[in-house]
Amino acid sequence: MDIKILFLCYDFMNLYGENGNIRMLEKRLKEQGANVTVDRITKGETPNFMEYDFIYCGSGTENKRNMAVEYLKPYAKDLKAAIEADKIVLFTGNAWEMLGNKINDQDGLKIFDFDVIEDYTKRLVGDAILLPTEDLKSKNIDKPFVGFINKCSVVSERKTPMFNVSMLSGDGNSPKDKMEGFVYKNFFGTGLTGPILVKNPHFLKMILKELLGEKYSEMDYKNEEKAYEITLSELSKR
Amino acid sequence: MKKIKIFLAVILCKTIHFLAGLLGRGSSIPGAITLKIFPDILSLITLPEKVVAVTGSNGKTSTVEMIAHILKAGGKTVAYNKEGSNQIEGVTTCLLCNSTLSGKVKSDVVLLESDERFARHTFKHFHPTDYIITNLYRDQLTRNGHPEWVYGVISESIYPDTRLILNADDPLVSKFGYGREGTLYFGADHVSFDSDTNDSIYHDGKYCPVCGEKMEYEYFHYNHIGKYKCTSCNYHRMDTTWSLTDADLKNGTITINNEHTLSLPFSSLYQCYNTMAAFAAAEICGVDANVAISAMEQFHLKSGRIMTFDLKDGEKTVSGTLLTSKHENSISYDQSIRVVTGTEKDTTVMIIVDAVSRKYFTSETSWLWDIDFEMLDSDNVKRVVLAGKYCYDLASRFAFTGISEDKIGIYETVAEGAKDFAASNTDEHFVVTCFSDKGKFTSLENVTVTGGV
Repeated sequence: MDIKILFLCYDFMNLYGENGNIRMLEKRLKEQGANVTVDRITKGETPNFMEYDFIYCGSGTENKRNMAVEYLKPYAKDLKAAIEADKIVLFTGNAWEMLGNKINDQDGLKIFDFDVIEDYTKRLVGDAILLPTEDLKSKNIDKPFVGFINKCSVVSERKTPMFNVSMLSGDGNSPKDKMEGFVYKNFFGTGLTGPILVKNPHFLKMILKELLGEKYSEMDYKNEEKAYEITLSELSKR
Repeated sequence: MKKIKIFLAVILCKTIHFLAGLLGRGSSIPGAITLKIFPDILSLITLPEKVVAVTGSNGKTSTVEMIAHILKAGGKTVAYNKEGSNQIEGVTTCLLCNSTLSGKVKSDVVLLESDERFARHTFKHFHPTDYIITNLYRDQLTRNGHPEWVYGVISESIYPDTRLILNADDPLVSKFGYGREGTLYFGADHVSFDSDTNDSIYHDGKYCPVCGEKMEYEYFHYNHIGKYKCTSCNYHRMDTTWSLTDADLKNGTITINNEHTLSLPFSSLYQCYNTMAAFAAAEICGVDANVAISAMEQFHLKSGRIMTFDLKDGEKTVSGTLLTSKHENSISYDQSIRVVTGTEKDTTVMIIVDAVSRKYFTSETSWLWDIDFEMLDSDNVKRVVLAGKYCYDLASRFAFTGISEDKIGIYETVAEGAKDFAASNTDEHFVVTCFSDKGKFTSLENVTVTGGV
C-alpha cells in the first residue's frame, strides 16, 4: 500500500520539535507494511496537495508563520480542495491559524471563517490537558490529549472546536471560552505544539487507521503509551 | 529632596541586604523592596564611566564571572550581580549595595548579567555603555518564548547611547547591529573542524533574519553558528574586532587575533564564545591583553560545568564524568553529546530527564526532538541508559537514533538507571543531564563526587 505524506514548510514551521510527528508517522506506517513517501516541501516549491494522503504543518515564530501565509496564498484553493476531498490534514501550533480570514491586518488563507488577533506582548503558555469534543469523538477518539501551548493569539469563536479545555494555564482559542482548536471533515487544527502524534499515541493510532483502513493491525507502542500516562498523571496533579 | 531619597534608598537596600544575608536569602529581595518604595531609584544613582551588560541565551553567568575575574586581575574594582539576580531587583541590589550614601557606585566598572527577557525593564532607568550579546538559541521555550520573540524584547532594552558588542557568527544576534554605526563584533574565523553543512536536527539560520530569503553558509562552527550571507539582501556576517583565529582541539589551545594563544580545554567552538566575549570586555575596559589572557587561563582552571565522580557497584568502582547541559536547550545537549562521542574509547552514557526545570513545572518534552541524539549511534558508545520520570519520552526519541534496542536501558528512577550504568564495562562513563536533575545522581549513596565544580 502506497502512502504519501507532505511535511509542509518543514524547515521553518518546525519550532518545537515538530519533525517528531512526521518521523513517528513514517516509522509506524512502515512497520505496518505501507510503502511510505515523505515529501518535505518549502518556500519556493509547489505543493500538489491532491497527491498526498496526509498533509502536515507545524509551528513557527510569528515572522515565519507570516512567511508561510505568503508562501501558501497562491495554493490556498488547492489546500481547501484537498480538505474538502477528505484528505487528512493536521496543522498544529500556530499553523492552523493561517487558515482563517485574517491575522491582525494580514489576510489569511481564507479557507475557514474565523479571525485571529495577535498581541506579541502577551504570550499564552502552559501545559495542557484537552478533552475531545463531540466532533472529534465522532472520529472514535475519546482519550484526553496532553501537550503544551505557546502562542500570543486569540481566535474568534467557531462552531466545531477540537477540544474542551480541561487544564491549560492560559486559555483556549479565546479567553475563557474553554474551547480549543478546530475540526472539519479530516482537518485537525490545534494550538498544541511539538510532536503531538508522539505524545498522544491514541491520536497517532486514529490517523494510522484512517490511512491504512483494513490494512491496519493493532500494535503496542509501549514507550509512547507509558510516556503519555506519566505526563497525563503529572498534569492531572496540577 | 533627591539627595535624601538616594540616601534613604541606599541605607534601606544595604540594611535589608545585611539582614537577608543573615537569613541566607537571595540577593533580589533587597532590591525588590527598595524598588517598591523608590521605583525610580536606578535613574538617580551615579554610575562609573564603564557600565558593561551581558545578555543572551547560554553562558551569561560564566561570561560575567570570567569578565569580573579578568577585570580584577587587571587591577579594576568591579560591581557585578551574581547568578540568579539578573533581573531589575538583583541589579538594584548590586548597584545600591556598591554605592556611597550619596548614590555613587564606588567601583571602576559596573558589570551586569541581564536576563534577556527583562533587560528592557532594567535599562529603562539607565543605559549600559557597552552591551554584549552572546547568542540566541532555542532555550526554555516554555518560559522564555522563541529566539525571534526574545530578539524583540532585547531590542526594547537597546538605546542609541549604548555601544553593542555582538557575536558576529550568530545571524540573529548580529542583526542588532544591522545599520547601527559603531557596533563591534567578536567571532571565530574558519577553523579546521568546521563543517560545510549544518548536520543538526534543525537550522535556525536557513532564512535571513532581515528579509526572510534564503541564506548561504560558507561554513558552520556548530548548529546555525558560522559564516553566512543572505542570497537576496546581502545581509552577512560582519568583520570582527576580536577573532578566534586558530583552535587546536587536540592540544586544547585557541589563538585570538593571531597573537594570543591560551590553553582552554574545549570540545567545540561553543565554549570559546564566552572567552571571546570576555576578551572583548577586557579590552574595552582597558585591561592589558596579556593580563587578560593569563587571567582567562586561570579562570578556566577553576571553572567549568564538568564534574567527575566515583560510582560504587559492589566491589567495583566506576569512575565517570557528569556533563551539565540545560534541559529545553538542544544546543547545550548537542554540545555535551559531542564531548561523549569525542572520546574514542568505549563509552557508556546515562541521560537523565526527571524534572524538566528546577524553577517551574512543565511536562514538556518536545525539545528532545531537536537534539541530535543520532550522534550517539557510534561504535564506541556501547550502552545508553535513559533514566528519570521522562525516560519513556527519551526512549521514544531514541527509537529513531539507529541505536539498537538491546543497547538501551530504560528506568523510571535514577537509582535503578545507575545500577545498569555501573554494570556496563566500558572505559568511559558519562552522565548527561541538567542542573535540575544532576543532584539526583550525585546524591545517590554509592556516588562520590571527586572533582570539578
